[in-house]
Amino acid sequence: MIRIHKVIIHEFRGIRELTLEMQGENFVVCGANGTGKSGIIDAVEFALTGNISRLSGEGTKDLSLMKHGPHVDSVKSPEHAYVELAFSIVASNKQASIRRTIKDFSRPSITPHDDPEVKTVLKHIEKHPEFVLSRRELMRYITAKPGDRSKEIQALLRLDRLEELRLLFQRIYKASEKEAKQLKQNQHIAQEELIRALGITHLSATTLLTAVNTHRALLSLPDILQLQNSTSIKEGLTTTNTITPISKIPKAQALEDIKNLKNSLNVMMKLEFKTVCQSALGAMIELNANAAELEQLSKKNLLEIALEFFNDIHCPVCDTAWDAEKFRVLINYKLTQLTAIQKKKTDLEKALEPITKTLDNVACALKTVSEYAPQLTNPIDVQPLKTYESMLLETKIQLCDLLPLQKTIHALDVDLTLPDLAKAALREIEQAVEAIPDPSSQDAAREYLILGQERLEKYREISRQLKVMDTRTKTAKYVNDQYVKVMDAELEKIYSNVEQRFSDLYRMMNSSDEGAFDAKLTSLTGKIDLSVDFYGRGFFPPGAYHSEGHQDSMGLCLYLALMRYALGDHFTLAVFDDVLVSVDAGHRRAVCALLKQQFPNTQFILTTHDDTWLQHMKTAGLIQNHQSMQLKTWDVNVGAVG
Amino acid sequence: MKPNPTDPKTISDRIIKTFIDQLSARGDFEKIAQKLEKAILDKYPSEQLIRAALFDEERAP
Repeated sequence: MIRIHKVIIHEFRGIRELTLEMQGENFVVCGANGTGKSGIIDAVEFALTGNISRLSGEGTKDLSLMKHGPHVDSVKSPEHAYVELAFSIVASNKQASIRRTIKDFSRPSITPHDDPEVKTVLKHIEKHPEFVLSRRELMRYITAKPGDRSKEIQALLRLDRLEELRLLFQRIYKASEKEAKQLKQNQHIAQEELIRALGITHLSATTLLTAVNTHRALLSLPDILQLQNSTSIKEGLTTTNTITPISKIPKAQALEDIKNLKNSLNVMMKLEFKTVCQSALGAMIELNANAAELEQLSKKNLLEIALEFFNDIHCPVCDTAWDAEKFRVLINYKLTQLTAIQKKKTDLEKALEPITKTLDNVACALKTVSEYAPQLTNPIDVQPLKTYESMLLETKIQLCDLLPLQKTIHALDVDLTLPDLAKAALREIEQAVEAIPDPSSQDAAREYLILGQERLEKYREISRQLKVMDTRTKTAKYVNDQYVKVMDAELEKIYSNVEQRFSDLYRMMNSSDEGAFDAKLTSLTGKIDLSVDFYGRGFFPPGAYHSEGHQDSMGLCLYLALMRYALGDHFTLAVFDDVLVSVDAGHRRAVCALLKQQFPNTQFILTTHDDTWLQHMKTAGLIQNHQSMQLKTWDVNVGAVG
Repeated sequence: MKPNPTDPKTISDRIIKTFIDQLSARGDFEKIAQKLEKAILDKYPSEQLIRAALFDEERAP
């Protein structure tokens, strides 16, 4: 989109004052380590994006643009730290400039300030800082794990939005599935309550109508011939039967509910249940012994990246010196531990399912029985039962949440026995219900139909909700599957194109020794696998047999292939910070030839610490003498000196 | 600025459009596809918007 003509840097990073005249052409900054080369790259990136990647990536927790962007002596006056770029828009040949200070990094001065084309171009570049490539980023395309490589490549192709959408569809589907599962459990409980109220062995239209019609006959009500969604089993009751009931409570059904509660409580007190709880508790305590690792589960990616970027000398995160083998053994050990812990966590969640189901059953049975209390002639205080019910539900919720594990251990370690006060309340309710005079057969039939209808409606309502949720889950699953299918197929086409271009570029760069090179870029959901041919012996991961120099070349070729695909003819600017340090002299000429011949419309701004590299670039015709700057020395007081 | 046929934005958009078209081709998902297209055209569609598009009340039994 743009070409850079001039860079003016003032009080920025290790630079006090420096001007680079690039004239929209390729440009090389050469200098020994510590002379300020990367500061120039940071300056170009900062001017165009308002950010410095090196101060904002992983492992830069204590670094910030405001504190560490200005020269060390200008930290207190960030308004004096600025970068100014003069550039042209290739498509229209329009000239423009941008000036950005550290203090107002999000509000650059743009000239011309109201030109929509300039604004659009700068906005686009600001969002996509991938025009800057360091060796660290280069290696991410090559040695990263498939999931991480996918993120890098998708970001470069500006496809991150596709992945965000995939995660959104997946999250909605999983949430619907979870909700449907809970509703299914509620439906089961409602069905059991209905079966108890009707006194039938199982729920079907036939069993329900047979039982209901027997009771309706006692009230001289006509049989219901067909059960439909809107059928009321007490239809005709209010108009044809005006008997005042002895009690508001249907005695027989209430006694059944109390019996069910006792049975549920017994299940919870049985050895089998206690064994399941003890087993889960043991697993939780064992898992909690690795509480630190459990917390580290979220940092698994960091460990994987640390391993990838370890340079055999220093930890890439804290720069502590390490024995290479010991470092790798330690990180691999931690990763193995985390994988094992992840599996234990999943196993534990499965082991807790029957426990939460039992707790749910008891809590529901308690609620049903408690609701009878206020309707008794002498109301009974059911607070102890309600407190116990709340305790069971809280335990259930904590078991479902699982983390923090210590809290779940405490939750499951409590005594689930029905407290004495609750036992007394239950006994009182049972005695009060038993004391209700047996109703006449007509009263009993009336109570039967009223309660039966109530529970049938509850069952119907939950079933309706479940049906809606099942439909939603199916919809969400279909849309999610369809999206993944289309995305994978389309990405496969893109990667096939990039794969071909990548192989072509690599063959050009390594024609002397790998003229028959080939590569496979395979896309799976959320992952991209890269395997490369090794001298016709088969396809292997890039790091398996190829040298570091070859891996650097691969990184560059893949980057170039991706940028070409993403930007097409608009790939007009690339800034390389000391990439290809491992490439030997023979291949460097090929790199220069490739950049010059294959990307004639791209302005490359490069840094190198190697004078010989600079000479190669000149002799290969990638740059002319005036297209380079040699940084001679660096001093904290005077900064970089060109 | 002239529209760029290889504009990066259009790669994502093209894939999303293919997805919407294929979804729409299944008759009973046509309405959802239309609503999703509207929701996704927002640059960063919220979960709420996508849910609303997927779970059209009219589809509930």
